[in-house]
Amino acid sequence: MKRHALWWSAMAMCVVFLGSAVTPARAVNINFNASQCVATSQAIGVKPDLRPFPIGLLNATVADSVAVVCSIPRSPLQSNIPAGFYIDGDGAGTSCTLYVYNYTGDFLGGVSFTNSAAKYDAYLSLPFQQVPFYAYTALWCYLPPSGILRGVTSLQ
Amino acid sequence: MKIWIVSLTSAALAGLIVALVSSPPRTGSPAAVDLVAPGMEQSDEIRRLAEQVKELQRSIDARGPEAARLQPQIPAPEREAANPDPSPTDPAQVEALRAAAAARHHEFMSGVAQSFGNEKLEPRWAKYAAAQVSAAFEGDAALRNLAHTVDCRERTCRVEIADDESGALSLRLPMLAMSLAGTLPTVVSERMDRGNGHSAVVLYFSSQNPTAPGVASR
Repeated sequence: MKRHALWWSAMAMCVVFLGSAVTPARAVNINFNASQCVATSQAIGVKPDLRPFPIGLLNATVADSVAVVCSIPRSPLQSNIPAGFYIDGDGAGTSCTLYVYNYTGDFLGGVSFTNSAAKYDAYLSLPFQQVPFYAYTALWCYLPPSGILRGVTSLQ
Repeated sequence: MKIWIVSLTSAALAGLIVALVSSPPRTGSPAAVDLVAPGMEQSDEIRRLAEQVKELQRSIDARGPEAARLQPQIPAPEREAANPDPSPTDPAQVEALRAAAAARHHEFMSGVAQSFGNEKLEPRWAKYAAAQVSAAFEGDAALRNLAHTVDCRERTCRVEIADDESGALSLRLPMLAMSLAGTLPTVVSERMDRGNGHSAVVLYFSSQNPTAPGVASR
């Protein structure tokens, strides 16, 4: 009996040791505020007056929504890990698309949400095959007059 | 005393196994491994463990030539994908990573195409979704003049757009995705060679949104 106990304890130690050697480590999440986003509302003929942080329209009398585009920093993930992001802000009627471009310039895909609540903390994810090692991610949002975009967290 | 001996031996065994697994295949005969320090009491358990480790080592060495033969049969991109360098600087490694990523993406898109092919036709939804896609094209001056086809089924629309090589298409696709966010929130895309010197972009828009927004859950 004691002999068996010794044997199994030895094997357990080996397994724990080996297991700890192959467990993949994950990087640290990247949080950033939306002040680096830029407005892209030329199409509506209005130069938006944006407040810097959280980004949104300073002059809420502008009837149309404002479109902003943000670069999404991320660290390339190891295979089999989906690319996940949290997008936070206020304003019913906000809609955002997170999209991916390859280094070749090819559009690889995207995922969108439309918010109807006063606040949003939207989780978006893309399968790892759609976010290759050398791809770039960006976020495009339409903000309503009172809408704001606080920031994005890239899950790593 | 016995417990200490077994514990020390276990640690040594684990270290040896890790070293064996992480080292490249050996080609020569293995040197004998002395697991127990001279003067230590060699119980039956320890002797048995030592024999098993030696057997394991012999087994790994015997597989070395076999693994070496198999290795060249695995395409370089697959090898890179299986164990990528997190920050490669060698251009050859970068190219291998890019090739592996392209292969994975193509395989993924093949699966999406197959799923779309298996979808039943839901006439009401298909008509509604196709109208939404057509409206999005009509609303974009750069896209409306590009030849395209729209095929909607049960929850997915396949859209193929001929690329005029002006560079405008790729730039407009995020806007197209944005304008369809309410009906078709997810999109995947792949460039296809049409074989006549021209290419097309195939997009699969889906009504399935695995990541609907909600209250904070983190």
